[in-house]
Amino acid sequence: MAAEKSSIKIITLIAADGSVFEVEPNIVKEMKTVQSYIDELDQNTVSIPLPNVFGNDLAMIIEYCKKHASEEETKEAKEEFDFEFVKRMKSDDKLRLLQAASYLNMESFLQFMAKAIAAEIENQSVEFVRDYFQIESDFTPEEEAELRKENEWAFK
Amino acid sequence: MTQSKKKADCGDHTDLITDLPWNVIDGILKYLNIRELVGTSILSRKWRYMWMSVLQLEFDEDFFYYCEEYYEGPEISRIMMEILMLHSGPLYKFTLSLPSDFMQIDCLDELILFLSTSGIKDLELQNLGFRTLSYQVPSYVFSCQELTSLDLNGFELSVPPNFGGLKRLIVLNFHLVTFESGALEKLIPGFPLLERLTISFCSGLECIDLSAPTLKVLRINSEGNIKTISLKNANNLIDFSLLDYRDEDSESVGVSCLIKSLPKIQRLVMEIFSFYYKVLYAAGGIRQSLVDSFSSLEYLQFVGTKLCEREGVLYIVSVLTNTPNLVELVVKNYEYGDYDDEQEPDQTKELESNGCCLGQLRKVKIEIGKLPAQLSISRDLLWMKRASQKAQVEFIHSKQ
Repeated sequence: MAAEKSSIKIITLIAADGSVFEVEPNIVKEMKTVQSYIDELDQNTVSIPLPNVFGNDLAMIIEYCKKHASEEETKEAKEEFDFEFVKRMKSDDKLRLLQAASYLNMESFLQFMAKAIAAEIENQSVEFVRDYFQIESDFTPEEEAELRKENEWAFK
Repeated sequence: MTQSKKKADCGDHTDLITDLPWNVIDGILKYLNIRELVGTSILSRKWRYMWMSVLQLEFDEDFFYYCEEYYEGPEISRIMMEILMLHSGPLYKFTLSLPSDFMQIDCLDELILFLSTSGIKDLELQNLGFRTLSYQVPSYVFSCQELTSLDLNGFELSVPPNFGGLKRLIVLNFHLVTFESGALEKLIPGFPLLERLTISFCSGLECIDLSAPTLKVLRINSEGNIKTISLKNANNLIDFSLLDYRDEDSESVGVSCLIKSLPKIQRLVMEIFSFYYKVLYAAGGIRQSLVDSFSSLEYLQFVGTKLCEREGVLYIVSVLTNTPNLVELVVKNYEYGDYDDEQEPDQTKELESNGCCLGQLRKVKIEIGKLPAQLSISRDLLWMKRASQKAQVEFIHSKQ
């Protein structure tokens, strides 16, 4: 590796609940929020508090990053991993991870979560989607009826 | 973005999604179909206009099947145009897939005219019902000056009189397109940045005569209607594949490939019947102008029947004499059954002459259907002492 301008070996990430994760620099590359923080520092060890991410979620994100940063893993193995990763998540896990991905500014993981969430609301009613995202409708029943009529074709 | 400005309106309630940045919401919306997308407009006030800013829209087969249950053609056109009119801001990708056995849609021209003003970059038009219902490619397609990628499937294509080219186009795919005579040749010079071109099972193209100095990838799939392919100035071509699935009993002579020089070619795939190799060989074609033109070739694949016949082997070997940097060679022969020709020509003398050293060759895969005579091809190909000692060689005898 040519780009060894700073000699950071281990990065310590501290989740909202105080749990601590030690990771190698290549694991956090995908987390742009963390990476830009590291880039500004000139130290051998860094510890970074992440007050918006819980330990369980951070553990999953790190697991994902490790798998995808690995050069030994084949494309197929990574796809298989992604498939299993989504399968063992509950609906609200996905939403929390999406928020964490947004906060950490992770491009590909964000895409991955967005796709998993889109699959949850695919072919579902407006009521289901509202419920899933915990959106409270601020339309009056009359307004909603009016809007449904405007795009009548979509609500058959 | 001025979201969350009116947060007070919704009281203290914050949901799990609405206040996330636009790129996150757009990331989810882009996986929804158009009906689900429009459906989000009634989630809450903040969502009312959100879907209208998506960067891509797709009218897929399901959209049309769904609409067909409730509406007639003109109404479906109206719905489509309404959606486009509601959309605001840039629209980078648009996909239309008209299903087979579908009614006529009359808004195509209007629709594409609208897109041409929306900064569209990636346009995909598919008419899967091309066997029963034909559509002309709307001439406004060539007014979409921001296009970088264009995909046409199942359309008829003629060049509009005022065609001025698409200066940014990089990727161009034709599938099952019926070309007006000479249309392809008129179009291609209008795409000065074109890098990838696919021509797949199109008609109206007996002779493809192209000058494409920027082209990097060219894929041609034919069902036997293409007679000659002539490529001039293909100096930047790195990947060329020609697949010709012709009925073996067909009387036609087969495709001949006239390519002067391919100095940068890295990947060459030829999947054609063996008598075409004969044609290629007899006519010179690639072979005679080879001298230094395959010096970058890394991957070479030949698929066809009767590859074990003398001409086939000689053709492959003639290519191999000019491929010093070849890494992988794949030869597949889909001919099965017993070999009826007892005589096994002695080819080794010819094969040994003037070979270049295949020192980079790492992988050889030879798949044959007939034994034992077909082994001769394998033996002959590998007779060359020039193959690298490290090469991994795999023989597969597939019995269908």
